[in-house]
Amino acid sequence: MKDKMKKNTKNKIVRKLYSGIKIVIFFCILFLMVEIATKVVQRKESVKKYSDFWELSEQIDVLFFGSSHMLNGINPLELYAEYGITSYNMAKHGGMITESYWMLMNALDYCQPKCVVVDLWALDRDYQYIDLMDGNRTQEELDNSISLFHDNIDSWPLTKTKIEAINDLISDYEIKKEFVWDFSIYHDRWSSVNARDFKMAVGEKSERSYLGATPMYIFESGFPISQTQKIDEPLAYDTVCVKYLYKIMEECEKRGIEIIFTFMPMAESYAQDWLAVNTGERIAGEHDILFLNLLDHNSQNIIDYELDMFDEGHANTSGMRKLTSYVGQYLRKVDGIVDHRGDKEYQTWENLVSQWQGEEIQRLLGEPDLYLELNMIYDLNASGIIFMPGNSSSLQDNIIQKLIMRLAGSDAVLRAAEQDGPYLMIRDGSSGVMQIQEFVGEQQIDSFESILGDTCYIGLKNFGAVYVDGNFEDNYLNMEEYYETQVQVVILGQDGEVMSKLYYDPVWNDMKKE
Amino acid sequence: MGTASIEFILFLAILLGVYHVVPTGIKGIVLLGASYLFYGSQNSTYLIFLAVATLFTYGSGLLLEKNIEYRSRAKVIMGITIFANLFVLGWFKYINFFTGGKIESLFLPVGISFYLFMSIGYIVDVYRGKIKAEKNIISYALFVSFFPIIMSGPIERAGNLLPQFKKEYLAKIKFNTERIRDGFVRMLWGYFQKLVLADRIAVAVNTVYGSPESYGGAMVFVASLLYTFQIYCDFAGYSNVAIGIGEIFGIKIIENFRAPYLATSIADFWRRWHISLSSWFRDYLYIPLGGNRKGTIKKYVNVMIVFLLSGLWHGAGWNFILWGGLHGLYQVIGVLVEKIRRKVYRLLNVREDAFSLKGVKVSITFLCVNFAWMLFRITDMELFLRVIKRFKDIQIWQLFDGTIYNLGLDRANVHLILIGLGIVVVVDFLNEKGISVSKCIAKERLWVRWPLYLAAIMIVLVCGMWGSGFNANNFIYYQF
Repeated sequence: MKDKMKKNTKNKIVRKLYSGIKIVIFFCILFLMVEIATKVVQRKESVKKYSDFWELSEQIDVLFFGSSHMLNGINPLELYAEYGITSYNMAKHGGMITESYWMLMNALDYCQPKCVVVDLWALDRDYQYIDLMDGNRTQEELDNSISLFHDNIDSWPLTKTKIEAINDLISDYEIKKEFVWDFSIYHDRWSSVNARDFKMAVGEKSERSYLGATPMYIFESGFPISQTQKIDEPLAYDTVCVKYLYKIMEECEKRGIEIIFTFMPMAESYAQDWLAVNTGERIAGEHDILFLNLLDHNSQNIIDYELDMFDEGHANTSGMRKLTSYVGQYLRKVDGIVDHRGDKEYQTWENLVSQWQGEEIQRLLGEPDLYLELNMIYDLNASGIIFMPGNSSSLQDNIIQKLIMRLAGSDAVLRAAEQDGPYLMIRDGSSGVMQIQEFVGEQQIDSFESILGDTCYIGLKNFGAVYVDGNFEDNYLNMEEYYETQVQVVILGQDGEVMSKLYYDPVWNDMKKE
Repeated sequence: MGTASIEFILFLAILLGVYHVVPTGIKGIVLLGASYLFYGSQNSTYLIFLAVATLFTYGSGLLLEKNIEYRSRAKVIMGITIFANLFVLGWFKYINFFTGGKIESLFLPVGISFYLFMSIGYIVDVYRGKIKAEKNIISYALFVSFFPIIMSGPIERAGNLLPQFKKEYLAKIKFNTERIRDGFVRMLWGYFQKLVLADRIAVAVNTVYGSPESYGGAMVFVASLLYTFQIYCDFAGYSNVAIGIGEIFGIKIIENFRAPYLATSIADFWRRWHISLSSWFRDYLYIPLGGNRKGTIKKYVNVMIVFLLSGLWHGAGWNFILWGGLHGLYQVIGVLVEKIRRKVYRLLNVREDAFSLKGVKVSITFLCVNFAWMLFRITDMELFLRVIKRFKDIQIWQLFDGTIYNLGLDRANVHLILIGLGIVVVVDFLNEKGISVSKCIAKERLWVRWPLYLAAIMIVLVCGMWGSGFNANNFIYYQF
């Protein structure tokens, strides 16, 4: 009897244990499934932005913080290509100093940079919560503000620092929850998930991250260019953003990180920008911090607002290249920052840069937008032929004229416009120094040396030809199929070989490629 | 803290642990504390209101029992208690309606219609001697405030619930994985109905009712059908969640829905729809009014009174009263034409239990109910007329030209609704045949059972309309 009871008790315990194990396994499977679903339905903007950060974090020397001005202004790939400086762009659209502080704190959990560059745009803003802003915003603006913060922080692991950031920047409890567990908001994406979502969920990098930056391959014109009159006063009091700037400085000082302030150029500026700049200058002066003030166009004229920006506040890829190069000059002087090019341990950086440069060249060889193509020829210092036949309306296009003048370094194109063309430019960068040859108006030159070899040029109102080495069968310009094309661009390789022929009709926004 | 929130699930998980760990003697206190915590999380002011209402009826019950021998005195006590409860309900919920907006109540405590009706039911049952007045304040307070049912019912009966809150009963409740699993599955089914279907359907319905002129009669009819399922999935969904929670804690809560759209008449519909409310009206209003015992005309009058008040219970608006009145009218007409119907069956030589006849009856009942729900859905009579006018211009092609995919939901969401409703209909049909799908699944082997449970959880989590992105609608019945 006793034995039977003992056996029963033992059976009961075994059964309970079995039940307990089953429950644990069930919830483990469930947890795993939810985890997978979370990764699949998650919006991928943040994952994309930081896709390379986790792998490279220990090698990062410089971090950039700020708003879209910084996001579109500094390209870490370019910085590495030109100076060998390893960096990551942590800026975000609409990003204020408050967010910069918390993104820095999050980043410092994973890396130990030698320098931090902080853009001071919106230093005048005097609010902390991005879901309330200054209390005078529409719901749409508030939603946008929250959404942009998602783009920056979603992919960061849930750590104490991330929770502190959420608590500090978001006031509403319900909104905080969606940052702590973003599945609560993104599960709704189930009906629109695609192959990209699944691929990125398993860690596949389906898109280039540009090391956090967002180069704008856009050429726009017609945006307002107007600088407000320079004022000398700083902000009347320390705004919330100023207080957070001090926190950034304090943290950097504690960790021995050098800090540099910037204010990215703006084609249209306002009084509050000057207040921010003046305050930045005061703080920089008091704490012996380098301040690269690019708002002051008179003293730092490195940007052509018309050609290097795509709107009144943001640089295009041309502007980005110039800004990156400019900031890089100062970064290379920072203690501890060295040129890592050629270092085997930094091969990943080399690979990323090579890949990016390859993509840039591919873009150059088939860019559908003429303005952008001309900008890219300038940026990449490409060799090539640009031809505009007589009566080409592009000759009268003010922007094209400016882009051509920048490429040629002369105003010959204006004379061509006066004569109604034709116009020919041959760019030769094979020697390392760009050689420019321009031909304006109707003419025939039987023989001259160019990157192509012994060249013959015939330029008439309704005809153009570039023959090489006496081969009159093979015209580098296509005057048959693309006879009516407004602009012909031939991209040449190092030895003058044809890489790509592009035929543009800007009036019809059309491009054909051979 | 809404019942469709992560906080609630965590609250439930913690409570489940505490409930099964604490000494049996204080299980009731734990449940009461949890119920007050849950109700207080909606608004702490409501808690004071709930406590006062509880103490008042509790005291009245004891006083009534003391005077039970003196019927007239007992009747006065019961009358005062009922009046006080109805007055409070009327003040908070209907004062604005009855005074045409001249007086407005400061707030409307959530679930007030449910727990005050439960209190009234309790005092009448004590008066009738069906139950003894509850002496234990914890048990009584728990009866009024039990957290799964306080917000949206079912409207429990003291005779069913109070005995389950006795110490002796609670002491018998052990940690039983099968019971907890069954309760959880019931909850899951409720969440599926509410979050995956009802709230999703609401998007399409709101789109059409928001601008009926943009759609033809065919699409307005589809929207009315969708609303018919929306309100069912919404309310039945909540009831299933409540019953499931009760089961998890070993408390049996009465069934509230029984395949209502398979009803063969309006009277049958009300035996299947919101059973706890319709039976409450039957027991505490229809029968005291005389029921069907005082002649045919009085019976019709009683039916109309009950349904008009039932409509008013659902909301302070003429559309609700009209909705109730229409259901009353359906019932009266149903009785009036009963003889004619039978004659027709005989003439056509159709057996009353024939499947085809049942199909016709179910369809006609469904269409009548569907039409009445249109009154329930509209916000004012002007909208109702605008909606009805659309039937002059059917535009049948809108059913086929993809208009349905432009009602605020993409294709995947529309297909999910259709599949989901298909599942609801099949489950109801099987329930009608006495087959419980959840029990069938529970009998299966683990490798069949688990994937089904996991898939169901994932569907609710992924496809459910919850979380801050959607501001998931409060359950429709919250404000009743």
